[in-house]
Amino acid sequence: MQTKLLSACREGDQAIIERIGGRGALRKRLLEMGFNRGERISIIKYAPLRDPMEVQLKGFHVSLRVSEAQLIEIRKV
Amino acid sequence: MHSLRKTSDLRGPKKSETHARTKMRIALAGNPNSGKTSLFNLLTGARQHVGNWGGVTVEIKEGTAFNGDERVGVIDLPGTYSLSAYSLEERVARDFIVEERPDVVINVIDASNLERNLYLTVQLLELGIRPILAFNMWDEVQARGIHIDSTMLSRLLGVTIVPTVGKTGAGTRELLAAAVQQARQKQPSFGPPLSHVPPELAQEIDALARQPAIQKLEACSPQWIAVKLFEYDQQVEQLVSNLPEGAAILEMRDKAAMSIDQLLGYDTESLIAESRYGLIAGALKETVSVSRIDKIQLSDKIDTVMTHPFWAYPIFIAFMWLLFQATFVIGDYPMQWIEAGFALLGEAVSQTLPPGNLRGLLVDGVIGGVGGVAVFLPNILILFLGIAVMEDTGYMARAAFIMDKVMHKIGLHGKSFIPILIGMGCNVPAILAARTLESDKDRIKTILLSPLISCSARLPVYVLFAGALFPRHAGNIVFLFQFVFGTAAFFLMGLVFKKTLFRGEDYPFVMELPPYRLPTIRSVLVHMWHRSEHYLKKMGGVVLAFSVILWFLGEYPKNQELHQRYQTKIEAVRTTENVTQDQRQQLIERLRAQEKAESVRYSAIGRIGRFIEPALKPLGFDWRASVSLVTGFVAKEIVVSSMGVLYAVSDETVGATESLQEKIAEYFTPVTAFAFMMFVLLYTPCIVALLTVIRELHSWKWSVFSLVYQIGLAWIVTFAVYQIGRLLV
Repeated sequence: MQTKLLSACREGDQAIIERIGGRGALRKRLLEMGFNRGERISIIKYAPLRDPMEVQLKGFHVSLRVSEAQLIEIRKV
Repeated sequence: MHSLRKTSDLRGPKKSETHARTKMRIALAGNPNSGKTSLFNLLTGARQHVGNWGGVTVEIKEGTAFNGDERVGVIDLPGTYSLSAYSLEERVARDFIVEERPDVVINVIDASNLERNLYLTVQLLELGIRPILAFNMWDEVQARGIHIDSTMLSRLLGVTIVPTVGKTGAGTRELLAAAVQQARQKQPSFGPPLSHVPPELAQEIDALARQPAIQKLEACSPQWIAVKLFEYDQQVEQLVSNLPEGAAILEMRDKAAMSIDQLLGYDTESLIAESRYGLIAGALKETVSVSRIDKIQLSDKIDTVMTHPFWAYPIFIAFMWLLFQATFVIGDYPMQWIEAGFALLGEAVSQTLPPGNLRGLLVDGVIGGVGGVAVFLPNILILFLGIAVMEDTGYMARAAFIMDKVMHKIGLHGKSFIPILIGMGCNVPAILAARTLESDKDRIKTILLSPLISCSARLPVYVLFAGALFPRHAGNIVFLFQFVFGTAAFFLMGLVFKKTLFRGEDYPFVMELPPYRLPTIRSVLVHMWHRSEHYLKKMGGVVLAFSVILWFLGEYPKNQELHQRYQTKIEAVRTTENVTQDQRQQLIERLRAQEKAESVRYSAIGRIGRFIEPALKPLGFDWRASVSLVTGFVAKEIVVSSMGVLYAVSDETVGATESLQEKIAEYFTPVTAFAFMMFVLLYTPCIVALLTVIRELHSWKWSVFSLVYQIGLAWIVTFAVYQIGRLLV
């Protein structure tokens, strides 16, 4: 199993978060919204213009830009 | 930026210093979408007002609730996911809790989404606050078959839990009673030590907290300060760096953080966030179970349609069309009634008062000014009703979701499309709609750009000029100005701002997509009213004052000599023998119109117009056009009526517009007409819009910039249009 970025996932993928990169306000927001290591997330869909994307974790839905999803390292399951 | 409300404020003892309080104060904290505002409205009813906190744009609403006979103050803090003080909202919420020390904090929680909502709760506990938890949306929890052992959870977290239903108001009385009861008990002064971080990190936190300098900070527990330092909290870092030992402490922190990073392979900031979630997961594991797969699937089904790769946009356009039509077409009826009402009032006053200055002031200045504000009310009410429905159903988040890519190109948030759309009707509600944006930067940028969208009041100008000089292409020219150029200006200036003034990191888009919900009529109406009320209260007085000032500028100084000369001429016509009655009447009307046109020259506005004429000459405008543009600050439709006066077209002649069109065709060339329309499109839309911008920006620096950049942009673009046009044609 190899680590990749959340931004490279496709609709319907399931993944486990490995680590959050980046820094500052954005990183903090991600951590506080529950993007933690070991958390299981499912990629629900991309917006019609392929950006932003919608994921589900901890039982709620979050949208984030693809550029933001590039900070999230995951492994697919 | 408002980085810290006086660093030292975090220190001093609070309760004793603040003004003597007679009544108890309860603060409501909670995530966005937790139903906090609805609960606030249920608790306080109509007894509330909006207060600003430390001069920032974030508002804090205050109201009064009754627990039996006892009056209790309730404060609605901004909705936040956390208390990290990264965004303005979070900073305001945290500052309020730390500095104002409310007697008790009610933490409103979406009980159907416990895990994420409890994150804020854990942060409150760390701050030494023992909140009352309102487990809101309890009906949804039950409908979805989620079982929560709240007795157990309450014991595990050491807090009181009260289930509530924002839709029906169930549980609010119990909530208030529980809050009042807790406020009477003595609160623990500081929070319990953090038990949920990895032991290695806990050691370092302890070590840092034991530093004498940190021990001396009185308002917050040393533990809390140390945790915040390991979270790289800017506000607390600032506080610590102001201490004499600050540099040493921060260095100690950096060393410890580095060694933890090496030891545990992750940074302290993430470890702390994770351990909070760990604590929550532990507590929920023992207390929450889901007995059946919930029916949230319905929400997912709706969403597959609403954000469908193809259908998303037709649906979006249909909703926007509906919003626009409702705002401006349905809104037009009450608008006409209001206009007619004010016209009647004006007439009544005209009939009771003798002609003269007082009458003019009352009718044109005061009644016209108040009417000018009131007339927008139907638009604003309907628009905010629409926005409230979109927000409360959850569609707003989806609209932002599908529009974000386009808007982000100019560094804006997906929600910024609403001002564009609404601005095509009227810029005033469009500017107000920027309130839906969370980040200050997005809000300022959207407010600055919104006036560029061509509003419907500019339409009469385009119709007049296009009809006069481009009779064969009038429709196309009007369309270009009304829809294309304004929107293009919005995007181009957005790009310019992104590359110049607003460089740097964008506000995180990361946003919750709440499940689709059916809002209650009550909550939608309350949301609508609170937003609109603001406009009325804040704008009424200002616009009235300005319209009175503008009336004076338009009327004074009067030129008596001019008046006398025309009186003599009119008398002369009256006594002429060899004309018919009709002809005589026409001659008199024409003389009156000429007098009006000439007297405008001598009024302050006319003088300003003539004074600035040299500045507008390079754009191809004569003094009449300049004066019309100055009067256009009042409202864009005034430009047309001023031109009617200035080019001395009597209203009484057949078909007023037609004759004005002839005059315009005579005085303007296609190039100058095009330039004139361009200027009208780009410069300040009207006094109400300008004042709204100033009100909403909350900053003189930005307000002045907004005025200067719009006029500057209008001048430069029009100059280019005229000079290039002259060469080509």
